[in-house]
Parts: sequence; C-alpha cells; structure tokens
Amino acid sequence: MSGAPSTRARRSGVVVNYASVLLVAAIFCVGEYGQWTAALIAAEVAALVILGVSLHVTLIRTGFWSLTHTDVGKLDEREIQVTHTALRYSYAALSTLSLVMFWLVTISVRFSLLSLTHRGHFSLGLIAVLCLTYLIETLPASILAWSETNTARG
Amino acid sequence: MESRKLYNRIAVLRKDRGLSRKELADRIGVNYQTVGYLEREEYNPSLDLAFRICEQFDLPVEFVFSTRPLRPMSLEIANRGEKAGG
Repeated sequence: MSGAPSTRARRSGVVVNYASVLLVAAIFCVGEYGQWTAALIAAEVAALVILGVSLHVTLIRTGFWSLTHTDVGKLDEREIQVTHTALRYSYAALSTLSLVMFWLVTISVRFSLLSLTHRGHFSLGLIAVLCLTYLIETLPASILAWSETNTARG
Repeated sequence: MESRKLYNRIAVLRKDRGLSRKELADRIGVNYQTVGYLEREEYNPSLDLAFRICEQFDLPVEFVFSTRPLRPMSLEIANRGEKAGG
C-alpha cells in the first residue's frame, strides 16, 4: 500500500507516543507540585500536540485503533487472530502494571511516603488514572502497530 | 503447538483469473490485506477459508495448497501432459 508507514516508522511512532504520555505526566506533576509557569504550560501543550499527532499517525490513520475497537463479527479470521493475540498480551501487561501500581500506592500511603492529594486536589491519582486509561485504550493497537508487517486497513 | 508452513498458489491463480486482491477478498469474504498475507504465505488459512479459495478457483485443494514447496504451474501442467500422452 503506497503512503503507508513502514514497520520502522510505526515502531518509532509507538515509542514517541508513549514517551509523550510520560512527558505530559511529568510536566503535569512538576507544575502541580511546583509552580505552573508560562514555559511549563507551553511545554505541556507541546507534549500534548506530539501525543495527539503520534496517536493519529501511528494508530488511527493506519487502522490499528479501529481494528481493536471493531465488533468481532465484522473481522475476518486473520484479523480476529491477531487482535486476540494483541488483547492477550495487553491483558497480561495491564493487569501486572495495575497490581504493581496498587501495591506501590498502598505501601507508600501506609508508610507516608506519598500523598495522593496536593493542594486539596487529587493530582497524582488523577494523572495516574488518566495514563492508565490511555494505556488500556491504546496498548492493543500499539502492539499491532509494532508487530504487524502491514497496516490494518486501506 | 507450532503449525506447519503452508505453501500455496493463490497469487499466480488470482493473476491468471485477472482478479485484483480486493475482488478476490470480496468473493471469499475477507479483508483484502488478508489476501496479501495468504499470498506471501505469512498466514495459514482455516479449513473453511481454504475451501472457499479453492471453490473460487474451481480447483482441488491439493493443487492450491501444500505442506511442501509447490512446483511452478508450467512444470505441473507439462508433467500432467506427458502422463496423459503416455
């Protein structure tokens, strides 16, 4: 298919996408726990733009996003097989990550190493939940973008 | 269980019948990219899909699919001609 990103380009897109998520979260934490300056706000907006562009180019335009969000009855047997594999890996990764986060938060709060609230807001908890939600929504499509030899649909 | 690689003649048969990948895909009920995966032998079809492909070309399944590398069709035809001629 002409114009479709190569496997290497898609893998780079996945790396940029998740790096920008971490950047958005890090800048948010610095701003919330420190001071929101104009430079910090500009950096946050730039990181969000990179996040949006990499999401669109790597997962939405290539069709991987729709492949993992389409009713199974509308997929053919190969698409069901690759989607099933991606969802299985995602389930393993996300359940492990969720448990690790749960235990880290529980232990940290128990020994007063971490506060989930700051300035009366639920800042750290909120950004953690948002990042986890984003990961849940995009991880199966990212696995496909990383491993498939072609884009999902033309 | 690791499945065996299946060899096939889908690409040459499709071109022989003057079909595009999209046309063949529509006839056998899959996405056109799945036809590409089948032609590159990167995906082994289910028995049902294999039969649908063979029915589309009106050929026996052993002529379209094999567990061993397939000979070029020209050699296959020449060999069958020699056998028929005695």
